[in-house]
Amino acid sequence: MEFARILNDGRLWAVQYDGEDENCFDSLFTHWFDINWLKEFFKNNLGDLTSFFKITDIYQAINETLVEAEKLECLILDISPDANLDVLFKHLENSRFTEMSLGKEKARGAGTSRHPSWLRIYAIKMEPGIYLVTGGAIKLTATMAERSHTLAELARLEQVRNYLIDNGVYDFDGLNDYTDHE
Amino acid sequence: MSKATEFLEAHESPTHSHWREDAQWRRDNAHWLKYARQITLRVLQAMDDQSVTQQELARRMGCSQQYISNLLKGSTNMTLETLSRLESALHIDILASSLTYVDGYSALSSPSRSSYLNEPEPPQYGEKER
Repeated sequence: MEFARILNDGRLWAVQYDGEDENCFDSLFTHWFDINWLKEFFKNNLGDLTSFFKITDIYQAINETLVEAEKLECLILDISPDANLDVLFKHLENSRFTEMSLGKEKARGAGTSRHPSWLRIYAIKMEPGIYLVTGGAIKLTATMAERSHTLAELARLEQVRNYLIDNGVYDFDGLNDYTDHE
Repeated sequence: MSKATEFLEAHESPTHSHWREDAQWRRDNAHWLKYARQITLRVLQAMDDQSVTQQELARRMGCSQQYISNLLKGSTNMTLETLSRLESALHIDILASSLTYVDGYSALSSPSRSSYLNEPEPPQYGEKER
């Protein structure tokens, strides 16, 4: 497992998984702007699109994804060196209100007037303001465990977090350093 | 430097991210990309309606399936020739109806070029487009 620098100032990184051609952040946006890929995705998940978002036309879903992806991409592209990435990422667990070391986080699109965004970027918070992206998804269900593609993202978050812990990025001294910054 | 940053830098991939470059390109070309995406959606809808596969569309247009696959991603700066070939191959209207009369000429009433689909294709077709 290696890591690719997404923002030059070192605040945003992404995992380059073994055997993959590109890092997971690049790959996310490659997919989200690929109309044919989106068509296959929504065709395979039409039931969820209809049940949870009341959308029956996959071409409408593709259009909305393109608009959402563009907004999210511009938001990240325009992040100023002074801006805090903590405003982009929120805790993965809606019920968690406290910080945890190497916490699992998510960023989401802005959504439309009709429904919240289904785009997600998943990351590990390495320390305040520094994030390591582990993947992302088009999330059409209430919980990640309900579908295999989002369940796989949960597994990736856990895998990367464990990898960091096993490699000593997090230890009790690190925890103390971490909490001192809070 | 923090322990986390040190670790990430020590394990930095030699393959650099191309996202920023791609994102900037998408922003700089947003205006025509919007058209390219709408055209791609129209083509995909027509393919669905007529049960035309990528392979069949490639055959009708006289190009490779790889070219069609790239085209259907929605980020290709299509030439007028490509648009015309798509219109003929799928019997759809992409540009024709939006062209107005100029000096008595109408694209809609111009002689049909549908016969070119049976003509031998230049071997390099599609290679010039991004």
